[in-house]
Amino acid sequence: MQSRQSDFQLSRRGLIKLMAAGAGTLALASTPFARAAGEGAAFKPNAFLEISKAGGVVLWVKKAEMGQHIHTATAMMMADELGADLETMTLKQADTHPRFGFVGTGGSFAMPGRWLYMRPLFAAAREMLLKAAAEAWRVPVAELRAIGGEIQHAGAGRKARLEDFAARASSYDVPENPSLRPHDEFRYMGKSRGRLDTPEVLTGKARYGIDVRPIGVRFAVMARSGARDGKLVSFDGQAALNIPGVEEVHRIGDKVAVIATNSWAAMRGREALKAEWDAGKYADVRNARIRNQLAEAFTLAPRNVRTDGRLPQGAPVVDAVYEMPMAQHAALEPVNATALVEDGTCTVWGPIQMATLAKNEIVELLGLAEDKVTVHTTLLGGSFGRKLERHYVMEAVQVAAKTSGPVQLLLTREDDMIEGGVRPPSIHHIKLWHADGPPSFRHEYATLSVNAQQDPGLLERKGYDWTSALGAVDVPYGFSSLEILQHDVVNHAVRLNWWRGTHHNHHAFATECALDEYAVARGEDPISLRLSLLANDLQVESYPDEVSTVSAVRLRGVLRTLRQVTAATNDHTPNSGLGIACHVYTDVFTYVAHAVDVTVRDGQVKINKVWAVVDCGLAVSPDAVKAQMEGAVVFGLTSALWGDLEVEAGRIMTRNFDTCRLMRLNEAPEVEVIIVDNGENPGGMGEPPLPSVTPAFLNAVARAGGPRIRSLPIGDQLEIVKNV
Amino acid sequence: MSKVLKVNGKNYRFDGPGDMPLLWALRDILGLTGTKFGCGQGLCGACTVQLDGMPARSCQTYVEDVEGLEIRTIEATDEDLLQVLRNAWAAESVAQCGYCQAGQLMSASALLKMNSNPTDEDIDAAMAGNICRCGTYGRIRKAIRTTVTKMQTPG
Repeated sequence: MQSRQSDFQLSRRGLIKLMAAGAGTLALASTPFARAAGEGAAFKPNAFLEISKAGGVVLWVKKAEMGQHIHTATAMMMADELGADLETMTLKQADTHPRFGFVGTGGSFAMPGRWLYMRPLFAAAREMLLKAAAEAWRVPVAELRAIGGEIQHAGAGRKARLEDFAARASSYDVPENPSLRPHDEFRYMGKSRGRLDTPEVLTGKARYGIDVRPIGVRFAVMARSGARDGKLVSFDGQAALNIPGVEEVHRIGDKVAVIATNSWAAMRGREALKAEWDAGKYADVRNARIRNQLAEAFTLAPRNVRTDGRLPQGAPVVDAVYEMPMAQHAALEPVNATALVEDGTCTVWGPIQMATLAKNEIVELLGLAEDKVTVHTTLLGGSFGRKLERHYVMEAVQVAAKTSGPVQLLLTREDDMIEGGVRPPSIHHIKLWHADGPPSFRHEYATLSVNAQQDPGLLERKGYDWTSALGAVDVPYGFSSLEILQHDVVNHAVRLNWWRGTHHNHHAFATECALDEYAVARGEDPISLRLSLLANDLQVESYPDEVSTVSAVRLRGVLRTLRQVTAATNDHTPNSGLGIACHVYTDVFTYVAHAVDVTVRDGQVKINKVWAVVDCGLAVSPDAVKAQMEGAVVFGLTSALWGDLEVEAGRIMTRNFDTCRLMRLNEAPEVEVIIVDNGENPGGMGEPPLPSVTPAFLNAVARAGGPRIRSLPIGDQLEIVKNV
Repeated sequence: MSKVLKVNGKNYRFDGPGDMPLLWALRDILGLTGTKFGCGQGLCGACTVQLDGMPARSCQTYVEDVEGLEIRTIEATDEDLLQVLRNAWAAESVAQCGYCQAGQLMSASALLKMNSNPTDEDIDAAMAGNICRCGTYGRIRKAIRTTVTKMQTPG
């Protein structure tokens, strides 16, 4: 059990490594996944591909689709590498069968991971099919090509379907070092197309977790304390059972499950039942207390995460404190899961980012053998990190284990927001000194540690939570001297979870705003200042024992492009201002710069336009890259304007869209996306578009004569309007 | 106390309580899961349907109040306007996660039924009730605009 226990506590990076390793292992396998024989035999050169005359080309995608178009982009990549026809191949979501290895999605690593570890599997499959065709037709393999679902022999004008060679190809060994297809042969990658399942999405046929309907399914909700760790003191379920449609009431730990023939009846039953909880052990916790805990951390010795040279003694040009509060993920599909526990097996369907972790936890929870548990990943109605968690999956399994037949456990919007981990808050103290040459930079910050909350021994073992340093330790600028100092604060009063962009958001906000304050104070152009600090690549240990490279050329590239596209924007009319910011998402090789043009007057702000420039290497699906950039602008502005969380008496009070305000269509600005494509390998796109949005916006507000906002959210300080 | 609900031109018998929100009747009783649950408070618009062509939050609409009305959901296949909107949605590749898009399409189609040539302000007013957490608003606006253009082009 020891090893499984440590699996539960995997860090974010650990997960990324595990995902990469899982795929890598498969890539090295030189034996076909399943060898078959006979005329109708299926060709299964790896766990993710099956080609047969009866079934055509079938691709299993391991990654969860949560709006990033990863299913479509993966299919584009594999179709290109294989030579398959994208429009007729079948896509299936991989479940937790061991053949697929670790099934999990996170860290914006899906695209870089597919490129590095999956493409070679499909190149190998193509070579095997070509070899089979060459043998069948008795022609040199060099004269054949696989494209659009066919193998073609141009010289003889001969062609046939890939599946015609499946049986023969299935008898070969998988080549160990297949040649990858050159970019100029790509038919799908690099060209825009929408989701392959667009028709299903637009007719209501696409199945999200909440739409799973196994035969005989019943619906459940749970009565919850609402306070963190509130203990159930007493309950009486009789009144719930009197509600038509309510069939069962079960105590499960400190919660009470109501199972009914429909979700509405379950909710009414929950309202009707009598339950009492104690106030929980965090009843005295409210926002101010958490904020004070962060502020007080600055009196303690920090962990020095990076030092270059010695800081000056004199007065700094910038000496400022920035604060980012907690925030909700607010994915539109509330978390839910459907579970069936019967005959010593457990099957789960749900919107789940980490299916294999969910499976491991179910194995532990129910004491079942691994091969008795299957977790199916459905479409996710948004996530932004929310569905990395598995608490709702375990709840569904616990409810299903109390009864017979499948049960769908729904967390209502309030349940979702009360129970989910939230974005950790942070305080940053930044100083910038003028020096001969580049400025000197000191960044000291305190934040709640996500990892230490989940793994209490972590800080003792590792010295610090390195994930909290992401985006700070890899600050790309060549300062004259620099110190990055971290305070890890452990707090169990509010559950924490990764939030799209992780601490990159916090650090980019503080650093890019401080740099803008420096530019203003020194009368320097903000883009020129940054370019002058980007002479050299940075080699940095952003993960323990792992050196990453931050490319100065690529970051300069997005900044220069930003300068070009904003050149015509008049920055000098009264009350208007152009703010810029940039950020490198070192983890997944993506470089982003934003400019925001605003007009500010009398406490009102109008966002005239946003420019969003990205260098993510090859844009496998340019439309998806553009969509992520556009969406991240809305997401980032929402966070800057209203992203906050109210905690009162240990209870999360921000629990629906009245208090959790999200940007709406009438408030969304025009966004122009520019993709800088330079032939590099694909980078990640789920999170990297986000961190520089907020600082670019805040810098614009300050430059337009508005307040210099250092404490988020903007809230009442500025009202967003269409016209000022 | 059986009721008849007319959804997308088809009659469904409904035996549940009259105070059940239409959302749950559609999803859990009639099996029409295209209409989505987002907030349960009429705040997000994910559950938007049409009642006699008017947009309605089905989480705030009771079954007993919709008997005799033409209920339209995202599953409707017999409506030209909705199909033109879908085509525009597909051409603009609007959907990211797609979860809110049923509600967006129902609101947009209700708008164009009432106003075939909406201004930007009309679009704002009609669509502000539909949250998209992925942030697809720019594309939604474009898709509505292209639909308007298409509807106004003869032939």
